[in-house]
Amino acid sequence: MRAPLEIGQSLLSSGLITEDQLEAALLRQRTEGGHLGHQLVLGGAIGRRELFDALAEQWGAPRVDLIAEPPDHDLVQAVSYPVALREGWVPWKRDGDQLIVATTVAPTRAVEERVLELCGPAELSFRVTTSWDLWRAIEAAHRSTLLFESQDRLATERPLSSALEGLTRWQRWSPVVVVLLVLVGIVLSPRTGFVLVLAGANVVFSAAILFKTLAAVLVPWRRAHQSRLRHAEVRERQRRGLPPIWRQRRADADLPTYTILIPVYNEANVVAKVVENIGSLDYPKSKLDVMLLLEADDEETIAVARAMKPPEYVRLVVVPPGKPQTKPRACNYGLALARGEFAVIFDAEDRPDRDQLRQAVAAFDRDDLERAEGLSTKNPLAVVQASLYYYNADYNVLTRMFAIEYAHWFEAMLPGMDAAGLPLPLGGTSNHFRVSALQSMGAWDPYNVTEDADAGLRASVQGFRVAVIESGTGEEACSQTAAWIRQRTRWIKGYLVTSAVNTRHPLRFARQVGVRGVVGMVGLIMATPLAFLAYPLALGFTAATYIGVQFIGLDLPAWVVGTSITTFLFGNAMMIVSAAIAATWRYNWRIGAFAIFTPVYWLLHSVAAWRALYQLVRDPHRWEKTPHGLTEDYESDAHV
Amino acid sequence: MAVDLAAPRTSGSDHPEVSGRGDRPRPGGAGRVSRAWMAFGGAPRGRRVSGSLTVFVVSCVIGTVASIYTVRTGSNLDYGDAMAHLTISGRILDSKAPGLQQLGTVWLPLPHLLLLPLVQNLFLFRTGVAACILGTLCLGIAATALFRTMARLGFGGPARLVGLAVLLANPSLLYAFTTALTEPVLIAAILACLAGLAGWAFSSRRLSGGELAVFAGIPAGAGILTRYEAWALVLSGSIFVAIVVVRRGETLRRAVVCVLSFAAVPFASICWWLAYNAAWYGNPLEFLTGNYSAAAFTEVFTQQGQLTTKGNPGLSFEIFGWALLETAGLVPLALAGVGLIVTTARWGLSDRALLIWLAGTSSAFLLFSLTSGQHIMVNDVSLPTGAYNNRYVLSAVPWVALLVAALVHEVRGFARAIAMWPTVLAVAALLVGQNLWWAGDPGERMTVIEEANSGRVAFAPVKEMATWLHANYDGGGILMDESADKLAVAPVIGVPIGEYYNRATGDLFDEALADPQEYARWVVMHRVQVTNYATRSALDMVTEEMAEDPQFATDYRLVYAISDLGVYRRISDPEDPPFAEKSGSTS
Repeated sequence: MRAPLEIGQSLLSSGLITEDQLEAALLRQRTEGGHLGHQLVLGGAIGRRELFDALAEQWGAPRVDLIAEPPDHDLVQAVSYPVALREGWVPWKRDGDQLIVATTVAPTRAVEERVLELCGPAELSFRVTTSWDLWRAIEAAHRSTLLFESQDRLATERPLSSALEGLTRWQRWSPVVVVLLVLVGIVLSPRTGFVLVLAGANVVFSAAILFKTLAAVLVPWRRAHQSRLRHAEVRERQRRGLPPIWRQRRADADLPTYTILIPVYNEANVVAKVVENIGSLDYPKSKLDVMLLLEADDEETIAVARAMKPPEYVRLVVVPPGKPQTKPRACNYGLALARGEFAVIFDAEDRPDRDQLRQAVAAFDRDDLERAEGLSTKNPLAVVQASLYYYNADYNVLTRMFAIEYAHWFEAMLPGMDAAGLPLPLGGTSNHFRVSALQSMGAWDPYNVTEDADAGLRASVQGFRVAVIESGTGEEACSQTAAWIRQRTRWIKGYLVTSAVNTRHPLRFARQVGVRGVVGMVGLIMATPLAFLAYPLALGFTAATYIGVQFIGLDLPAWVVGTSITTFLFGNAMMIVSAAIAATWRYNWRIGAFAIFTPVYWLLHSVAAWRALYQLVRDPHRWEKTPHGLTEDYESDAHV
Repeated sequence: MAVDLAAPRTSGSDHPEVSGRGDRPRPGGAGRVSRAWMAFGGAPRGRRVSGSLTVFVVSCVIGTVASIYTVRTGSNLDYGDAMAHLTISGRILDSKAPGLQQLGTVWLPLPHLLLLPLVQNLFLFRTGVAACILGTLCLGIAATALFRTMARLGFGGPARLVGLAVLLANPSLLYAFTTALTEPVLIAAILACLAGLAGWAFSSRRLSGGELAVFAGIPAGAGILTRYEAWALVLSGSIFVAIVVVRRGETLRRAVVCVLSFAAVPFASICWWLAYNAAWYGNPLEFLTGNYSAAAFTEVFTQQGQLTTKGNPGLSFEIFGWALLETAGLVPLALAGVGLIVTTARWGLSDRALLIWLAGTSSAFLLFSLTSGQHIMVNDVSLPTGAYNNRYVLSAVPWVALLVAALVHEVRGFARAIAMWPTVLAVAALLVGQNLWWAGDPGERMTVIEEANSGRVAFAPVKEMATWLHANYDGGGILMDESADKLAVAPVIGVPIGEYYNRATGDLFDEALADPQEYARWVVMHRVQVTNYATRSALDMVTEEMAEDPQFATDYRLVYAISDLGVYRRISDPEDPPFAEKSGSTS
């Protein structure tokens, strides 16, 4: 075999590339690393087939089309798909005693030994195939395994962590028993019964509000604490004669491969933006492993995706039909084919900050450094979550309220929860995983409609840590009320399911996550949907009392009336103020001012919550897809 | 409710934001003033209308100056209703029977609720500055809303300036905005609603029903709870919304959704008001049919044959017109009339024209009320003559302002040779002349001021009594039927409302009437029962009761008397020094 540089000379002398193209590819290779051939393809100098034709000639092995002539099914099973993907070859056919191997890497002595080790003794012969053909052939050959990985593995190996089984018996019956007891109580003593119901609603509502507000209040402390830590670190580094500020910005060549999973379904109108949005990331393209995850029955989106002829670093992965047909199942399928050390999920219309991947890598590097130096006793970092904001924030009233909610969540609550050491439920996108940790957790639960929140909690249960990074991703807020309700139904249902999954054995859960984990579970995951369910009662009572009527002819104790009104009004006021501050900080006062409509916005949540409760009983795994592209190309300047 | 979206709208001459009407900024601006002027007349950019903050601040400054003048002269408390509104607001919290029921049913509640935090301070309550603060903010809101409406209509800087001048250079309006009358909140609500409708109708992007509900529906809801003119505005606004949607070529369903979006908050406001009446008075229509309703109020006039406008549209129009003339002024009115002709001729019934017509809803409602006998108005052309309720036409001033501004805009557009500044200066000169004419004899030439003067004269003895009581009150409670004729002077008395036993205290008032010696050190009442009253509710219940109580004369001593009013003090309480020495007043 000839040296790598010769492939460049070979292509140059064949007239397939020019001197300038070769120089550019060599420059990229010097800065980013990787194979020259790959850089030439990424740069558009040559096509993939041309490259591997040249390599085939260089390696003295004919090229084979694995799509037209797929590997022998039994033969290919000898090598597991992760190994095959990692090694870059598959056993293709047997010809008598000869084993023919299709390879994308140079057939060196080391490769031959590896083949013999895995496939047994044989006379070897090699064929060259393209990287695309290889992974598609592997995917086709190991499809049943991949499907098991994506939809059944978690439920099979860790049934207690999967939402497949739904509610346990005691979880199904305890709410029924509670409701029956309340009804009996009301019948026997209406006054007492109603007082208890109202008191319960107030407790739930207060718990949810207090948690949200207190978490937000912690943000300034967090910032001050981080500032003190930074100053202390600067002083210590100076004392040791080091550069005062630790900057772990890896050279491009040292950056790891990063997998970006982009699940799309019925999004033919937005999928074309993927290339533009992902292409603007400041990360070496040769280190990107982007997978557009398409569902087999979504012919329209598949056609559009193919027609846009994505760049080399983007793969179109068509997820085979299966149940449940959900986003986490598709992500699991893609994760199995991932090449990256880290992985992140983005939606098709997402616009992440340019340096988000680098920031994520830096966060993981920092965690590794601190743990290696014995500076940290925290659990190992498995996930970092970037903040989400909306680039159509002021499109209409609903998007404004959504933007406010997200600002409060990502700019206030999550950082506050992080400061308090509470487990963090993840957002639907822009959560960056260490792939090895994600796989050890069991990846995503395909039966949980809020797989993100579940993953965050499961990470904590299994001894990992979730953190936030100061990078953002622009998203499109849902602008239609009906679609919003469906989306929110799914989220609330997911919180209920996540609560149920994690409290199947409450004591075990408490032991695993500790006091803080219990606080996070109760205060957020459980209290949020319950608060929305109870909200109409609290609102209705307050409204009726405000008018001044004797509610249902009951002469309620003054302390009940006073407490209920105070809780409701004060609770709402606290939420309005903290949300307004967060939204004004993130966007501007024109958005923040709409926080005053939070009590009305919560009514929509209540509609979604009751819908979620119904679906929890009748159809817990149903995934109501949120439509995107509703606001076309509208972009506000509020987030700038 | 579903929020449907459609493709972005194309431009059209009816939508000035898109068509880019309005003054174009001059290239290479020549300094801050020039840039500010260009911004002032610039086209709106989305939600932003440059110049809004400036207009708000300047309007508030003007309102503040006006307030300083009226507070110093005491004229901000000349209207009896103004004092009553302050008192109603104060007694929601400061009363022996605090609670929402203190809002009563005579007037719609929002102005009282807005005054509520301000009147908790006794100084602000007593001097009426509480109302000045609210009125100034309302003036700022009204002027800003008018400015934004004109911007959405595509008017340039000069037209906007003239429109604002018509509003802000009106002494009657400025005076009203320093008082606790309901006009400030009403006019602010009307104009804010119009601005919201204009922003929705003339946006280059198709805005949702939710935005309509927030930016137009909420101000309309505020108006609903302020005065009944706003109820008519909700109706006319709904028709406007439906017409705009249908003209865009959208579906009937979309029209219904938008109308419902606009009307949702007003409807909720009405529901709340009905629920309030049902909860506290057992009748959701108590405000329409009760003892303190407008119907009860006009009944007396009807019985006395003074409701001459009822069934008489011609006379109603004449009286209304005269009130408008003496309130808005001949010059603005004449210019508005020409503006109406010009805009009708050039705009027809376009969306822009309809929006301006919307501003006349309150006037149409007032005419209807006069003709149907729901309302009474007395001025120089009524029978009999006098000055009463003319301030209601103040809600027509925004309409006049819009029409004058439209005229200026159309004249400039029609005759480009006419330079900007001469146009503005000409109108300014006319407005100055109008104001100078008014200033010559404000009490005769401005009916709102005339009525205030009448009030000052009519209340003079009562206020003198109130001032005396303020100086000599030494605690112990006051028994007074504050709802009786001309006794709504609590701000002038200037003691905490919680000191009173009055009709608003409900059962406590009855108990105090039955045994005043046990409850109140002071009693204030008409020494002779009221005979010239507007409603039966104006009878002095303390006089009624004490006239039947022989014990009263032995328990109380008259310490101050003026006109037919008397202030009595409980004999068993020591006087230090005796009141005869302090006041020098007669018993």
